[in-house]
Amino acid sequence: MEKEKLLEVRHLKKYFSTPAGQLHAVDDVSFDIARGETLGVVGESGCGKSTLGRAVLRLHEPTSGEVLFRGENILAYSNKQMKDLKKEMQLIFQDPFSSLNPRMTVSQAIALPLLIQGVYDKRDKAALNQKVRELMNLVGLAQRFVNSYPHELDGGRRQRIGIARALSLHPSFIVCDEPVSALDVSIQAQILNLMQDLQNEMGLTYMFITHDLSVVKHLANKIMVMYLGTVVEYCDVKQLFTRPLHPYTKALLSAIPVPDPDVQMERIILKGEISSPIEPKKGCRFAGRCIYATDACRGEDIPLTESEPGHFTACVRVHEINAQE
Amino acid sequence: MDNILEIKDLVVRYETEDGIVRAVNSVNLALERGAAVGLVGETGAGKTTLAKSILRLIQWPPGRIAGGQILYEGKDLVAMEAEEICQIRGKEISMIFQDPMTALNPVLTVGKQIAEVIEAHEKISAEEAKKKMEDMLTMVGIDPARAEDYPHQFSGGMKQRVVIAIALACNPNLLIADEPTTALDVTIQAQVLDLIKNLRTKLGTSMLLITHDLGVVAQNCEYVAIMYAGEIVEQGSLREVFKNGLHPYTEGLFDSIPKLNEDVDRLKPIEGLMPDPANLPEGCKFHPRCKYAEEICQCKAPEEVSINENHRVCCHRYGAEKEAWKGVSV
Repeated sequence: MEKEKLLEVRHLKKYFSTPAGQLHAVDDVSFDIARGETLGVVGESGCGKSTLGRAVLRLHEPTSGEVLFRGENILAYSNKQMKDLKKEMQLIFQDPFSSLNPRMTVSQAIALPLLIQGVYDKRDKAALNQKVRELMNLVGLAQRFVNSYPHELDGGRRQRIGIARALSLHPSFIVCDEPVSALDVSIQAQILNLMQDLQNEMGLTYMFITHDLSVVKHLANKIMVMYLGTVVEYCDVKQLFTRPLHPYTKALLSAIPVPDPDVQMERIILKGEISSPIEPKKGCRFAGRCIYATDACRGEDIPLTESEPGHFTACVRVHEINAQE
Repeated sequence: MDNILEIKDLVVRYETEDGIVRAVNSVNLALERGAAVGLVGETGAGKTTLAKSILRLIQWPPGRIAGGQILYEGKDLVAMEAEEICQIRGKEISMIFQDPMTALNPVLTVGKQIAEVIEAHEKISAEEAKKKMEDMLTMVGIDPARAEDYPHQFSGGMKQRVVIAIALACNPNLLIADEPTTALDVTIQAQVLDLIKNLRTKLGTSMLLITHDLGVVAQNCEYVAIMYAGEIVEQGSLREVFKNGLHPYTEGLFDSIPKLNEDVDRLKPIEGLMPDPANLPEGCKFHPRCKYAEEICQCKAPEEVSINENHRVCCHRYGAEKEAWKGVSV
């Protein structure tokens, strides 16, 4: 049975105008997320993964394409409709050090979305405080921090405030933009467990953006690998880690150092660096660094195609390359 | 064992208006010639302070080395005159700093910054220094034609290559690499680590690699030291610590990371937070977060116990003190 799709994104593009020309941050990206599932979006800095997350929420107005939430195209929504929709769609930010207002206490920060959306009345302090306390309990923040300022708290606790704010309006969909990359490993595990518990309890759907493949493997159902604004591989988590097909994904996986002295990885060291996203040449964006690149890879944009059941890749030589092994 | 560096009972403090921050507390660490030691710990564990004190880069006020010795080739760096240390710094011991975005001077060309180190330490003409600078750029994989460019014209990975070129310009005996790849993407991290490894094999450099990434240590070091709240809680050969880790903190670290080669439904984080180094707990510094903590852990700091010649740990679970303590309390 096909699972109900909560979010469908079709041919989404986001270009930025720069003095040097159009910067193709997100270039023709399509995907679905089923209700209650997690889509992991991975890629290196500058690949457009954060821009994609923001474009989906219309925090960056997309250049073209469609974002269907529960079957309705939200890009056609008016401002009024968008404000209502934001109760349903929320964002957890990357950096818990800069995403909180330093002059607001914990309780003020958590209460703000509730007041903006008019869920609670400012005059009804008792009810509002009650709700703030509930949210603090939910994310595991001790009540004694209720009047603390962000600078008094460590990164893990600040990130809990960010999560409490995102959850305050009972959303069904949350874009998590690198929520744990600024945290130490022992704290990172606490936050990942919290996010997992909340998903199970509240039936949340996540779009989880990160550069850390091991985190994605732990949390996600499906994975989308991005390179320079385009999707190069899109499939189930299991498929990606057992049988990656795209040359970039293979290199990315092999580059991660494994914390085990017995595992000696066959490293694929990529030559060069990510090229400029400004007015990119037609063709595979990865061709310049790819050991398999031929003339067929250049000149035409490579569409994402189903190379194996449920496993999508954007590579013209995908069958050839993987048959060799 | 032939050690290039021996740190003995090193104590470093920052004396601030709000109290004394005990950043490094009685650390003992030895580095074998030609080997690489990975120093692992979380933010605030004192890793960078330890590294900076080796080069005497701790700034007073507020920081000072309050005790202990750092023996480099048998000479105590702590007791050394400022002029003497200048001869060693950058020439015999050099450092790769954490953030390539801020480690370079934005108003000097990269070529000038590399040549500067060479001219400061070697009695050679400007011409020869330039030649050597170009060789260094080639060695780290940058076209020497770019020597006249400024740091902002390079990407993060390229800037880190320049920092590495500066660090290795005088063929140091000891390289201190403070999170050299933390600011970089994984594919670039792989390139940079590969580069450091190749250069080390070629030049026979010893290395102290500071990182919070256990994977980076596993793939690059022979020895590991785990640091917590200014102390080294466990140290030994890579295999001993990774395969047979004994300290509860080491265990907690390994349980907290999601692994690519294993499936776990739920991570096991270490509960609680790293203590404030201005207000460290009594006894074992880790006891408030430790699931095995007993009475003795709250009162008495554990001494280092040798498990075997390649493995030492600071924990009451492995010491004889625990038995003696039980006798006292009864």
